[in-house]
Amino acid sequence: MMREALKHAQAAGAGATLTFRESQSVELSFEFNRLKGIQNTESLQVTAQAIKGGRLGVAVSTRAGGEGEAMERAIRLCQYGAPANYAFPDPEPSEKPEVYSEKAASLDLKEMLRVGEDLAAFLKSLHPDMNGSVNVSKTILREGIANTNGLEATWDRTVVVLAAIASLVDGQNLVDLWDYHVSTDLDWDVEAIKHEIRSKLELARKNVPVETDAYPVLFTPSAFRDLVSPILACLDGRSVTRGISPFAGRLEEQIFSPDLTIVEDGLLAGGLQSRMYDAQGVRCRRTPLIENGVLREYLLDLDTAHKLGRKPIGTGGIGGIEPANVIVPGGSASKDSLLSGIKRGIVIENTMGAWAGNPYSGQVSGNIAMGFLVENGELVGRVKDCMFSLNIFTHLKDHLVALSRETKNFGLVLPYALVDNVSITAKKN
Amino acid sequence: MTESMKDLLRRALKRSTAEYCEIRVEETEEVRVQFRGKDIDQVSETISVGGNVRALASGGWGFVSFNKLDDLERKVDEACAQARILGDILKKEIKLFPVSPVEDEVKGVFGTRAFEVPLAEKVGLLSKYNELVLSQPEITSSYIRYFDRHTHLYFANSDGTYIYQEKMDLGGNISAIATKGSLTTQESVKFGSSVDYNVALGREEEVIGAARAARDLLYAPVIRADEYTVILAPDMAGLFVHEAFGHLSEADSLDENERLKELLKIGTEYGPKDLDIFDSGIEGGNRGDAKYDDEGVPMQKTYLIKGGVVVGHLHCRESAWKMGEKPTGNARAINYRFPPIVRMRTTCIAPGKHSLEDMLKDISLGVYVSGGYGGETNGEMFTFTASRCNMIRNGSIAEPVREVTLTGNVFTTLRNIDMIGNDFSIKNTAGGCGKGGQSPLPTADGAPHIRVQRVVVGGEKK
Repeated sequence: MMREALKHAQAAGAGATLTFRESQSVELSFEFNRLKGIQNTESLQVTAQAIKGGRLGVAVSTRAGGEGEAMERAIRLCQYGAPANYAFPDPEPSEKPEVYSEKAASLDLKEMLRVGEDLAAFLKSLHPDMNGSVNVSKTILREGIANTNGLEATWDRTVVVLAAIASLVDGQNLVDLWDYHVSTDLDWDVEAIKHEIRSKLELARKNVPVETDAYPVLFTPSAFRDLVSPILACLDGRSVTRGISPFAGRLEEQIFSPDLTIVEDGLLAGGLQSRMYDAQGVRCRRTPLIENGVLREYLLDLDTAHKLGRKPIGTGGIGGIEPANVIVPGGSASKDSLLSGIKRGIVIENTMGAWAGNPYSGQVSGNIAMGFLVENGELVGRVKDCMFSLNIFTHLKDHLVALSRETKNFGLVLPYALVDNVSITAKKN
Repeated sequence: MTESMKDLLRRALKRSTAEYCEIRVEETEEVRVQFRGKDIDQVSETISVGGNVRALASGGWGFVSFNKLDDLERKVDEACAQARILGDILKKEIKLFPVSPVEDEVKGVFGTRAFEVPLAEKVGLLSKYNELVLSQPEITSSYIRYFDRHTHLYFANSDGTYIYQEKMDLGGNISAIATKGSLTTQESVKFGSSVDYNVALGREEEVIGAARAARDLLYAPVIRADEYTVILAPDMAGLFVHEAFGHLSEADSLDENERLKELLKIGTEYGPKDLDIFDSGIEGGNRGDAKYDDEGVPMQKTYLIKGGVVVGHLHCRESAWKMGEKPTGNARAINYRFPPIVRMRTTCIAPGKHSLEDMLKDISLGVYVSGGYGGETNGEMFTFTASRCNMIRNGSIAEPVREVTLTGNVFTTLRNIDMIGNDFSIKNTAGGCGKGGQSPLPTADGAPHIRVQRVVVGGEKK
């Protein structure tokens, strides 16, 4: 079907690419400490991109055998589409990333039930009023791409997720502690998830006052994402070509602390978004974007690479840039040693609302959904009703103290980050 | 076509061995147009076809979603088998609140049908907005996005209900972007509707206003972090009530949580005597409006707070049964890949008696918030980031400030509302609400101006 649709595009005088994604997933959910449901999802989607008369048309179909209708529409839409001063690439050899695990694919419902029930029982055991939620899921995906230049490739991926949330209503205190493990392999560590939640529950129930001031803050990988996401928006080739990124025209400039490196790696073994080719047919690779604080490369698709006179790096998407796996390599210190070095500061586990805002200003503000006051290297209790605020352009240049050697993979691969002089605004008592 | 779908669904449902079974099938066509800077950035169409079967047995839910519609009976078998596996473990009695079976075909009653407007006309309209944005002083770029969807939704369940609904949904966002040195600011015009393409028209004055606001922000200082008295304009008060109280009222997070249920108990006082909060799917034309929800329950207007006191919750059939209340038509799924969960539609604070002047006059130092990027809640706390903000000084709206993020405890902030305005408007945007991995679900918010004491505002340190 795909070949026929591509032949049709050629006959219509268009260059074309078809991508597809087919997946099967099973998800078990536990709510209120008990099994709630099983969800089976079979999903397929094909996307056609056509370039004709120097313009791009895009159409998507989820209908079985929808390649033909998607291509037909994509060709028709070329008359209105975005200017395309590029052609889809000729086939270039790539490698299949190591993201499929037979062990993960053969994970059965019985084992998923066993692990889910074990975690749900553990959460319930922590407190009589505990509301424990657990999700266990397994997804098997096949993705592929073909174009009118002869490119044809498919690759498989497995994704296993184990997530636990401990929710407790303590007076008017709502405590939500969670941890999760996402992997392309069946390598979850249930005891590590239990330890993470158990070790913080009592602290999370003990509110401690904090004064409005500037503090050193240890961001967990989940919270550090809020600081990395606006950097990715600024690295996006489209914001660069439009002149709205503060990184425009600054390649090879020292922008951040020498301790900060950011890498895009579409072939990362175990990467949750690893793939052979991006959605435009460019082979994926490992590319330093920020190297020891120096801006080395932008996130590029065919269009922005052409406009900026650079080579594409395998981060082209459909209607936008789509990085695969963004990695911030960790430093040499352990997260525990970073914590123990804080005399008086804050650990931010989770934020709320920090994703909203203008990413190009560098300003990041959000509520500390779950955070702890640190005194002499020890967590002493939960800080509540307060906000953090910093500017990534200044704080990750002049106030990045260290990154931990431990990293967490959740699509982005990030370490813990210790940042000094972060503005914390607290409610007055 | 519709008749044959009814037969198909009913035949498949006969296979059900569960206590309850339902099938939902969707066919949606979507158009998207996007401009970035001077160029059109994307024109795309999506044909989305798929369905799901959901079954309940002894307290366990089985759910199967799929794109291939040719073997519905096997999907019913699969969902029922899953439900039974769970039911055998749980052996728990869970019922759905009884609802009279309905047979109905709901053709859309639309103004101008977005899906019949030629694509060239939509591209032309957005192109004109784009030119207008880019012609404004100090505006360096633009980001314009528009979508419309036309959906045929078929639903049948083992209670005997069969419903066909035709739906339309559209939204747009026109952003003006200003850049000076390394600072980039932006402000947007947003619109949305479930009934009329014409909401996309005639936005020129707003576009010029948004460009002016983006430009003003280039010269605005970052706000000083502190606790302030805050006046929220209707758009932002709507976002506030959605985040601060709407989510908390969704009963699927209350129905088995005794402590949370106690906090939200009917009769509990949470605000001033003139605070009324409601959610509605029948206000007319708002995103998310429809005749029936995704369990076949008729939509309604549901008061959550009346006179400052909790009077209701938002329900699906399961949560209604568990809490001994009635379903409210709030079971919603973003598409066929997901089961319905309890979600808001148009959530509003009803108008009060105060003018904006009344609210301003005794504030010596405060913040006036009139535009925002978005918000979030975790049940206990809420936060949202404002895009358009001014300081209030000595009873007057003064200079603009930027990078304003507000936060607060849901319960104390509701109690800190001390004035409710006598104006009211409902805002539809191109965005939506997120919960349980289902985002962005079309919703709308409505409110008058409100004044809130002691709101924590993040920003630069003092």
